[in-house]
Amino acid sequence: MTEQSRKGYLVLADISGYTSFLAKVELEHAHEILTDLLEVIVENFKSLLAISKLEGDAVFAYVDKTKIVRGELLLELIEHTYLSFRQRRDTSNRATTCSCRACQSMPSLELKFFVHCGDYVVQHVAGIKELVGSDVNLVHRLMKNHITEHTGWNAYSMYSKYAMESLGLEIENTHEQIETYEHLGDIETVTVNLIPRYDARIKERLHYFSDEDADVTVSQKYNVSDVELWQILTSMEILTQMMSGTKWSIAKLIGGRTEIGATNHCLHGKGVMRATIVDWHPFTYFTCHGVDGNNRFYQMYEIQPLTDNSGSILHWRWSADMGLPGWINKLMGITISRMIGKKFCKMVENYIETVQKPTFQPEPQ
Amino acid sequence: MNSNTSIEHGYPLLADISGFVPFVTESEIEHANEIISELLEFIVSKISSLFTIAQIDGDAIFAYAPQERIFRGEAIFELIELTYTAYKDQLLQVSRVRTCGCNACRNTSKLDLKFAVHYGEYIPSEFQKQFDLIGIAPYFIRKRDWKEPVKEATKWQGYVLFTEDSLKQLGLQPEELQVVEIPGGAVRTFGMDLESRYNSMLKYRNVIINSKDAISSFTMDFPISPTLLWDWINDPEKRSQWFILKWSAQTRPGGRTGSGAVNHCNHGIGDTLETILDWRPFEYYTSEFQIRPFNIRIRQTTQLEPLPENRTHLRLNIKPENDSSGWFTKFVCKIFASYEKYVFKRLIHLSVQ
Repeated sequence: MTEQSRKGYLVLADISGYTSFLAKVELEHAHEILTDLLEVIVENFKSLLAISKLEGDAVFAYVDKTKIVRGELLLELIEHTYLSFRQRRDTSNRATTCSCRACQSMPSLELKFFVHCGDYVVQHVAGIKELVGSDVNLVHRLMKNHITEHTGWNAYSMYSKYAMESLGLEIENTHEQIETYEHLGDIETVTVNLIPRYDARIKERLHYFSDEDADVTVSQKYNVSDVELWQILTSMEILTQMMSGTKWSIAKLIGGRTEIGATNHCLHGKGVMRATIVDWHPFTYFTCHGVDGNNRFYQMYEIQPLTDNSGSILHWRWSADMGLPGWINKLMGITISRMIGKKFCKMVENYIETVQKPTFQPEPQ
Repeated sequence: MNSNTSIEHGYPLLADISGFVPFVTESEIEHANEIISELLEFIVSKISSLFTIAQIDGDAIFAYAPQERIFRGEAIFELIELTYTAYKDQLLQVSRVRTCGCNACRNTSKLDLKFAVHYGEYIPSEFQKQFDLIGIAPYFIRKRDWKEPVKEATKWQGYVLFTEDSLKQLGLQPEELQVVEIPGGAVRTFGMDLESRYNSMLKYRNVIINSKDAISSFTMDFPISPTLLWDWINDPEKRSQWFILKWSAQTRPGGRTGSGAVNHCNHGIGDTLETILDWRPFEYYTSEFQIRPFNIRIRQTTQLEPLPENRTHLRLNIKPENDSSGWFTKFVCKIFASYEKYVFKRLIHLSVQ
C-alpha cells in the first residue's frame, strides 16, 4: 500500500566505530551496549520525531515540516541527543565498573547525525512500514562523506544546505562542502562539529535560580513533551501569536544561533522589553535578563519532563535585579507573579489547547 | 527493549534492487514507489520459502536463514537464481502491462537485482517493536560497503555475492564465481553475474514434457513446501532414502547441479545415468535417464506447484527420448513410471515424519 507523498525533515543518527567495536569484543556485551545507546537516541528523538526504523547501529527518524516552527529546535534536539549519548557512554556503570573489553572500548564509539529536508512516501511491504523516496535515499547517502578526512571531526551533525535553508538558519562556525553522489549529483552540505557544542553544554550553570533563589515561582503542568514546550517558549512566532498585543523578534544572535548573549525584543503597548539570554540549556532551562523601562529582572524557564511521558511541567521563576532591599523585591515579585507569571502560564495552556494541539499529534508509528 | 541475547548462526542476505536511485529520481514519486513496492513484495514472496524477512531497507530486503534451516547448500544458490529469473520475468511483465507512458513505467525495465550472502553469528533482537540482527555478518551485508567495489571491478548490474565464510559453510565452490576484492580485505567475496546467466538460460529453457506428449503421467500432493520437496528429490543422499536404490552425484558442471549435471544409480542388473536437461529449481526439471544394460533412454519432467499451507502438488510426465521408439522402450517407460509412483508414495510418508 502506498500513501501520498509528504514533506519533512529526515534525520539519521549513526553510531560510528561500531563495526570495529564488534570485531574486538564479545557479541553479547556489544549487543547490550548497543541497546543502551540506541535507547538514549530513540528516547530523545521521540519527543519530536517519529522513529521510522532502526538500521543496525543507526536510527532513522522523520518529522513533518510543519511541526518545526523554530528551525533551531532541530539543531538543539540533535545536540541534546548527542549530550545524552555522551553522558550515557562516558558515565554508565559499564564504562566505570566493568573491566571487560566491550565496556572498556565504549569510549571509541561516536555519534553522527545527517539531516535532509524532502519528500517521502510511507509504504508497506510484507507488513513492514517503510519510508521511501529519492530524498530518503539522499539522507542515507550523506553517511558516506569526506567530512572526517577534511576536518578531522568524528562527532558531527551534517545538514544538506536545503535542509538548513528550510529551517531558516544561517549559522556560523560550520564547515561547508560539496559531496558528489552518483545519480544525485552535487549536494551542498553544512556541518556542525558537536564537540565544542557538547563542551559548551556541560559547562557550569551560570544563572540557575532554584525555588529558594527566586523571588517567585509559578509551576504548571502541560500535556506536551519537553521539546514541544521548549519550542513554544523560545519561538518568536509562537510567543507573538500566544501573547496578544505583543510582537516578539530576534534582536541579536551569536554566530547565527540562540546562545548566551543573544537578545530578543518584545514590543508591547507601553514600550519594548529587551531580554538577553544569560543561561541556555536546551530542553532543560534558560534564563534571560530582562530590561523593561526602569524594571530589571531575571526570568528563568525550567522544563521538567514527567517520567510517565504524560507531559512536562514548566517552572517559571522570577527574580528582581534592581538593587533594592530584599523585602521590596519579594513584594514586587509576588505582585509580578500574580500579574505576569500566572497569566503567562495560562497563555501557554490556552495556546496548547486551542492553537497548537492539532499539530502536536504524534506521527503515526 | 525486548531482546534475546542468545547467539545464533546463519546466513544474512540482502536482495537489493539495482538502479533504484536513478529510477526514483527520474520518475514520479508515487508511481515509482508503487512499482518498487510491488517488486519488493514479489521478491519477498520468492525468498521467504527459505529466508525470514528481518527488515525492508528502502530498495532492499534484509533477510536471514538460520543454519539449521539449510540442509543442502545449493538450495540458497538455487533460490537466488530462481528469484532472479522470476524477477527479470516480472520486470518484463510490468513493462508490458503498464502502458501509461510515465517515466516510472518506462524506466522499469532498467531495474535489476543483486544479492549478497554472508555467514556468521548474530543475536536476534527486538527494539521499538522492530526486529533486527546484531552482529558483524549482518552488518557487513546491510551496510553495503561491498556495492561499489563490485561495481568498479565487474560493472555487473544483476549479481550474487557470496562471502568466503558463506561458501565454506554451504559446502560450495562453484567454478563460475569470480573473486571480488573488497577494500580492507577483512572479508573475501566471490560473485557471479546473474544477468548474463539469465540471458544464456533464456536460450536453453523450456525442455518440458507435457501431459499430452507423455505416455505415462501421475500427480501427487505432498505436505511440504516446494523448496523442501525439491531438496528431497534432488539431493542424491536424500533421494536414496526413499527411492530404495542408491543414487550419487557423478558430474556437476561448474560445481553446481543444473543442466548437464549427471546422477548415477546402481540398480543391480546394471546402472542408470540421469542427465539433467532443464533445471528450474523449485518449479520443474527435465531429466534423461539412460537405463543400462538395455541402453533405453527415457525423458521425464517433474513439476512442482505450491499449494496453500506450505503443501506441494507434484506432476510427473514420462516419455521415451525418441518418439519412434519400439514397444519395449514404451513398456520400460510404464514400468519406470509405476516404480516412481510407488517410491514417491514412500516419500510422502517420509516427509510427514
